[in-house]
Amino acid sequence: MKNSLYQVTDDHPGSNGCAQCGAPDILHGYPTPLCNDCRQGFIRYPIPLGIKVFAGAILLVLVYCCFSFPRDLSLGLHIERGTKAESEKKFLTAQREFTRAASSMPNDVEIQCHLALAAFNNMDLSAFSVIAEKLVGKTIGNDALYKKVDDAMARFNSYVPKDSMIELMKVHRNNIPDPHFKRYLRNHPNDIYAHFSYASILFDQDRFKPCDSILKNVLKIDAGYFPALRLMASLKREMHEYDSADKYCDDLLNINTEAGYAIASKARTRLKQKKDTEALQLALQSIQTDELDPYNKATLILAYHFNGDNEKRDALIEDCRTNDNATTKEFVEYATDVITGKVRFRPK
Amino acid sequence: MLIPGIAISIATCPGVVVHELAHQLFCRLFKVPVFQVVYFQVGNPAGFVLHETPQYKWQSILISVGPFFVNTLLGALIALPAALPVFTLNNANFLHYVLIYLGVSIAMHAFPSTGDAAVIWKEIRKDDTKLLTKLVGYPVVGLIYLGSLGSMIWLDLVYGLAVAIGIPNLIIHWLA
Repeated sequence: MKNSLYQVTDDHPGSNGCAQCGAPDILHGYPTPLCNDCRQGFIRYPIPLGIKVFAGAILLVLVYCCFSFPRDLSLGLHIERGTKAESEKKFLTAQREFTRAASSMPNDVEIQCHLALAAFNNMDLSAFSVIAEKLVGKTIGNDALYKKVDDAMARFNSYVPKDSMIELMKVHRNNIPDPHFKRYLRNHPNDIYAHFSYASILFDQDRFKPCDSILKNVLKIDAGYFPALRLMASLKREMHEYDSADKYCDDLLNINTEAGYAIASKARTRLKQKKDTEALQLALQSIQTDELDPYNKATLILAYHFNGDNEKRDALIEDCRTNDNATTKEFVEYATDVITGKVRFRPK
Repeated sequence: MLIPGIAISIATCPGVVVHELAHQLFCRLFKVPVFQVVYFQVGNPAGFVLHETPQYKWQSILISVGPFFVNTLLGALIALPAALPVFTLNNANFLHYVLIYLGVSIAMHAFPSTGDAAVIWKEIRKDDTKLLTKLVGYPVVGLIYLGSLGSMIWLDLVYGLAVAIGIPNLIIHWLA
């Protein structure tokens, strides 16, 4: 688009007047001989209406999109933070961030996949199963992500009882006699859930050696089986194998650096070792990592108790009894049993 | 793939218009008379601004490189609200794609042309040019010619994409 104004060159030999209008009073000191009016006219060279309309249209589209920008920015931040947390194995943070992202975009398959992975690594199995159901039949474009979710779904099966196990539990009303349980385990050597359940029963009966043996077999099949690692840490503590107990906690923390219960478990090991100051620090750290886990709260109550801070101990017990659910109350009850001497936690 | 420059100019004409408009606005800022503006044409050059030689050489340099700042800033600003929905969130609508097209088109025309470089070159070669102006001017000319060479390997498009996609992602990365 060319304008109709007279084109002036820098070189005007012999020109006496304004190069545009011929007026005699030109402004000196410039390469082009122009009068004041013409110079001002050229300085304010008009921008055509079409260009102004073009700029206005861009501005309108921009304004429209700016309305959605704060929401998109917040969503992008949750996804970025969640992805970063996932890569750093901070799965509590990842689950929190992806939950927020999913509330804005509930139908986004990739967000649901990340959320599922975070829930699985936090052992939030109820959340995982809900998300997994949503993902059935959905196409996941990201191959690496698909493989991870697929793997988690396959592993999830070992966290719930098989039909044959459910049948056995029904028959015996959840109280399977030892010979029947053993026979079931012999017939189902790869049923991790059943083996772990039996190990838990043995642990509760203080039959530590056979419990240890079964848990080792479970971990041979799935080295990252969370409940087995967790129980192993408790078992080794009870067997006074403190280094080994710590090693299993570290295994848990290697899978999920925000596994607060692993830190709390270490705190209990320190209490057993009568390293009470260090235990309190770890207990506080576990609460800082995951303040909702009742195991962590009970551990902090114990840590306060053994450090002689009865005021904080009692305040926390009161708070748990008033505000928390039945599971927390159960854990707190164990702690109060230790305090009252009903349960012997460590030798005096 | 060899695509004629004219075809690219046509496809990204909003960037050419903004480039020339930026030259014009910098002329207006420095009160330099403008004698002719071609915002876009099918040909080479795709657009140009004919103006009087400014009084100061640094003004010449700024008028020549002005589009680099204006196109980069505007390209980033336009693409910013659209980059996340298009490239990260997968919830983009038609307007978001329009903004991405505009943002990339505008940003990829940020590089000054060899014509702009020639203006700076002519000014800084003069005897009365101050040393500081020469120190700034020569590298600028060099960079412009490098950019021009780079456009043969789609450097301008790469730059446009980097501005439109990279800047929003950097912002997210910094804020997260």
